[in-house]
Amino acid sequence: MSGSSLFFILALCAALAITVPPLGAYLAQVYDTSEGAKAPGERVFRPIERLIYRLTRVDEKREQRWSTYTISLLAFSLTSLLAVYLFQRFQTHLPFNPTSATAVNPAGAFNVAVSFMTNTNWQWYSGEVAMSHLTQMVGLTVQNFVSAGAGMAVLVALIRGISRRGQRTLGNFWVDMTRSIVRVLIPLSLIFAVILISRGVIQNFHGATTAHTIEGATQSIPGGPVASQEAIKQIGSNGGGFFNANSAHPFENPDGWTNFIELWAILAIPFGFALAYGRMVGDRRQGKLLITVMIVMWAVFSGVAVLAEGNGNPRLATVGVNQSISTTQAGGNMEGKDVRFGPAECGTWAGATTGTSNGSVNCMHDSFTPLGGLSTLSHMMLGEVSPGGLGVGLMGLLIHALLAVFIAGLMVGRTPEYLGKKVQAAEMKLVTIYILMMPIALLVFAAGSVMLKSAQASILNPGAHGLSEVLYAYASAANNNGSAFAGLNAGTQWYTITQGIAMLIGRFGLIIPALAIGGSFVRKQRVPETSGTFPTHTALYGVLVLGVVVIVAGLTFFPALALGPIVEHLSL
Amino acid sequence: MIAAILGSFTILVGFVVACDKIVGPDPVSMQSTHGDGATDRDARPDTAADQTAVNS
Repeated sequence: MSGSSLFFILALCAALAITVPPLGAYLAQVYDTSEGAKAPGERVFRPIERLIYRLTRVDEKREQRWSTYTISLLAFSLTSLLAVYLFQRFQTHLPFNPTSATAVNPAGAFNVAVSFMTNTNWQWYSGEVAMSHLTQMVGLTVQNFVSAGAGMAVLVALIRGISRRGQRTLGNFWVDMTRSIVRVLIPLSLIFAVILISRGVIQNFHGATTAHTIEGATQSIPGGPVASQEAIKQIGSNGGGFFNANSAHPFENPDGWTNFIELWAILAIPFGFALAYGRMVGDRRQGKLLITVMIVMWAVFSGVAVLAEGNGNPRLATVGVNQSISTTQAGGNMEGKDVRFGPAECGTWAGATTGTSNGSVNCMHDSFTPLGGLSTLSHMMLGEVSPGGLGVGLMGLLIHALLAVFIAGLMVGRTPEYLGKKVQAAEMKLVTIYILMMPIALLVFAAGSVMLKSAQASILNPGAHGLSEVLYAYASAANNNGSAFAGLNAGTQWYTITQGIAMLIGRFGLIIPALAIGGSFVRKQRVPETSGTFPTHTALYGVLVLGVVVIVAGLTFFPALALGPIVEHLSL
Repeated sequence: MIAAILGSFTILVGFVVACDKIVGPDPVSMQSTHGDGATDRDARPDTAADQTAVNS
């Protein structure tokens, strides 16, 4: 690794260490809806929220049971899905279509609508070709805000379920989502978009501009409102690029500075939520423990990707290709990487994007070494908890934390407790459903894809690498990540529809039981702590949570990984 | 396709209902107005299912 790359990584860690604690404190204040509570910016945001509640006829004082909260989320998501679907189907008849984009086919439009509504942002299409500016702005970018806001609301409801005692309600979905968007996502995105524009990210309403090169060739240079989408794409854990090349495109990510701040934007809020959690449950040690677990996983998986890519490809070394660091190259495995970003910057990004369910890429994961590819694939298979997407990441880690206290309870023969509340049969049934949903969506459809002849035609690489591509596609969909390994024709009817279903299961198959757990917890009183209570703020418990996450994923996915990237690595 | 979308959300609503069955009804004391916040669910000992879940 070069000195500049090492400095890049250390500077990123320092920037996160400085900014995440105040961000966590702010997030905790944003969701404090108790009487008299005021978050910073109250005088600016409060009138906007009041106006929204008045226009949408939302009674902000009226709280909801978990099931009502969930039905509100589903109703909103269904409306969003239908709106994005119709935008794509009728974009030829709508304004702001300078590139004359045609109507997207029904299966493809379903896939895109589900993808953006579920915060996955998987893209089987080239955005600059397939979508009109109106679809990008009003359809996709709006979903970037609201799908992220919905995820944040879900986490807040679960936290209230854990922290409240003897109550029935988890808050109000409409209020929580509005506060997420108005007080967190829009202000940060506005600032971030201006910074991106200042660094060269484009923001206009042009179609493509035709340029004539010195050699006499013609070049089509795309235009569009990129910076506004790029900002929320990173801040909202979305990841769907305006361009097909995503953040490897110079109009989305022009230089090292934008690469740095976009990485910060991917990671800051998900980490911040862990610290906010500690404040919201009244025990900051809980938040510190969970953020430590997140950091350990993120560092390990990012580190493997950085080192694997930095060491280069041994096959290339045998044929005499120079992969060493020099003044003219970053060294290591440079296939599929932009010369602006070397292996370390790409590996760091890959670790961030696969750990947060963001899904944006600044280099092609299909070109990673087998070990680098294994790290990205297995990072997603952990369930997007390191640190995970906005809200849903910490939600997943909390579910694993409950499983950890249950296992600890089995070891000592006592009814498990978490933050003074008994974890009983109902909660464990829901945890089990939660844990099973994602693997079912991933493995069943991946198995179908390698068994069906029609689906096999989409696999462009033979052998183990082809299997890795299929696994990656469904791991990305079922974990609502959205990044692509590439090397797979995912625009077929089989892939667009099955991935759409996998994304729906990966989103709601997990959120519904998680909210139900919140609904079950919120009714309980805290039992007094005794000498037999297993403390959930200690390093021992942290190791247990970490072990549960890794072992659950390992037991579920190791056989598939062994046939994909592990075989590929051993065959090098 | 729109019918399929509506159908998939109907299934999700069914999933909410199924999870609500697992959560169970609100305890009687919560539906009344004792005002002390205590519930029957908290007061009762672990059920056989709870013990089985721990001891199995």
